[in-house]
Amino acid sequence: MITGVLSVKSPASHGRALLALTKKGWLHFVRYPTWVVAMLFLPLVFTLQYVYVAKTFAGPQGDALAGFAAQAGTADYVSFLTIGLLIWLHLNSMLWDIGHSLRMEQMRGTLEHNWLCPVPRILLLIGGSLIHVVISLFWIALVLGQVALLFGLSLQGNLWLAALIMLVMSVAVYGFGFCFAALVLVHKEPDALTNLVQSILLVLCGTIYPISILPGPLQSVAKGFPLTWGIADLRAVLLQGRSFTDVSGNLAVLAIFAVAFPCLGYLAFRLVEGFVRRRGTLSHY
Amino acid sequence: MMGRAGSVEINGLRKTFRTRKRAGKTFWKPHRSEKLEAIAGVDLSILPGEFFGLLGPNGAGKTTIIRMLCTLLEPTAGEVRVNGFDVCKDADHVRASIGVLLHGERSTYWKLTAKENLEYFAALYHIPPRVARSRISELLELVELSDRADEFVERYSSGMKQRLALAKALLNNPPLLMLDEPTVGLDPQSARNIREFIARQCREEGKTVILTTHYMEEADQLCQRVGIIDHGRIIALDAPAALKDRLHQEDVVEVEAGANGELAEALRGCPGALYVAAVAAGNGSPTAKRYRIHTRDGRACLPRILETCADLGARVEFVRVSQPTLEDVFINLTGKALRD
Repeated sequence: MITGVLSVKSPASHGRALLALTKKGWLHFVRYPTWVVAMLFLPLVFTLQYVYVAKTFAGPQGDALAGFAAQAGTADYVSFLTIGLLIWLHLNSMLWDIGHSLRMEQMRGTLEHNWLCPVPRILLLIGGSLIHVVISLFWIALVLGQVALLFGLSLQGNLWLAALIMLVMSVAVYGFGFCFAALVLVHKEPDALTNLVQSILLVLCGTIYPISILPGPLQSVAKGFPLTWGIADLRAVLLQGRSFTDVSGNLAVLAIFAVAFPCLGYLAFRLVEGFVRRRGTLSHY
Repeated sequence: MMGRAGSVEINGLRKTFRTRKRAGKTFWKPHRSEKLEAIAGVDLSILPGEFFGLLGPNGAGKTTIIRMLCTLLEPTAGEVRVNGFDVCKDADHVRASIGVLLHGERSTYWKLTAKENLEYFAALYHIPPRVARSRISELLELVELSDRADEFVERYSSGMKQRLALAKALLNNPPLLMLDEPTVGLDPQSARNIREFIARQCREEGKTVILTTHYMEEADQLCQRVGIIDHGRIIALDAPAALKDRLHQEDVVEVEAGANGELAEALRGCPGALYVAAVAAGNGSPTAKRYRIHTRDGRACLPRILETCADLGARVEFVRVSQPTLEDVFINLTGKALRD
């Protein structure tokens, strides 16, 4: 017969907890087939609507592209839009999925049971959303392949540098994600806010056009989001073949975001969690 | 370091909530904030291996106490030590050393199988994989779910879900189990099975169990000691037999009769009636009520009680003279029934 408490904490046991959280997310994902179908087609459909609008404005031979090229630094609008939209979709996923996974646990009634486990909160937050980040990376590869087949993509430049930019940007965006998770703990229903902020990011961060066309004050606001810097850097690297030295200034700004936002976000989350524990509203929905 | 495994020490525990109430007319300030003292100073000591029950009506504060013991809720004041660990300062140690059953049916993932659920929580409890595998099959066997371990939980009955929730609470083999209303909403057979399982666990493995319930029979049957709680205070604390002995000079006449607004008052006026409590009829009939009349001598009072019912035209469906139960102790202490 087993005797004594069985919990044995170690770095490996934390790794197993993270894997278990990810596996649970994956099992829930594949057991709702409509989520899988939506994942396969939605990002492509979302990208295509903007590509066809751009195609209309460009004209049959791309006669009207000169103005766009002057602003964007490239006439390859398909690649320009695809990069912007995919990064926006991916970072949206990272940004909201921490809060959304908490929300799902609230709705299922299992949030408190996770909170009762002796695992660090940050592990629950990251583990709950990690599978969606992986799925989202799969999206990017899938849609890039689909768009390349349909229109041809001319991505050039250093892919490792692009991956580094993505990584730094993702860490920064995760910091925002903690803040959003804190909001979910207090205000519960996140959808209205999600839609509002997603749209603001789409408008401000240069997802479908260069931010240089925005009015001056809005450009300043846009520079407060890591997404703006990341998308600009990725386009510079992948469409214009810029080097590490060329983008190092922007990358340094992203790195500051990547240090500051997660620290501030997690601090905000812990403060709110304490507040919710005092109020006794963790399981409310 | 486990401290005093299986023990609970509570000193001067208080919990105050801020509640919002509709203020009414103004659009810009539709609510007003009020303070609600849910736990109003509780001192309690539970010994290792003890089966302890918190008995009280809904809203008395039972679940609030359990939620503070298991670290989900922060006390407003007071000190609480569970298994020797302070619930505020050593919350992680407390969590690792307890098993909790809260709103059982919803405590597992319905889109996962029983086995997947237990594997998931075993990883979150840092149980090494090899130990987890044998513990999971042992527990599935124990709660009689082995043959359906690979089915989605959504296909389980309420009783099976509750048994799985119990298995989850036992995963890390804690010395202390906290069970919040473990049989609520279950059919009598499932409730009896759960009660027997819990009693066996406490007896055979020497676990401390803290059980909250508003079923007096459950507390009477399972608990070595019972704390009766009302309005956030423990108003009586002793073994069930000792609590009932406080009423040793009393009989209880139970009468189920057609609901009549004046009957309770009339019964209070019967010679020899000490307390009268009216509760919903056991058969769920909307037109009948069950009255528990405390008397010095039930048999002597019975004719007068029946006469009073007849005078008011209340048809008597059932009548019995019995010994006091824990519910009668509660009535005696508070003047109202547990399910009022």
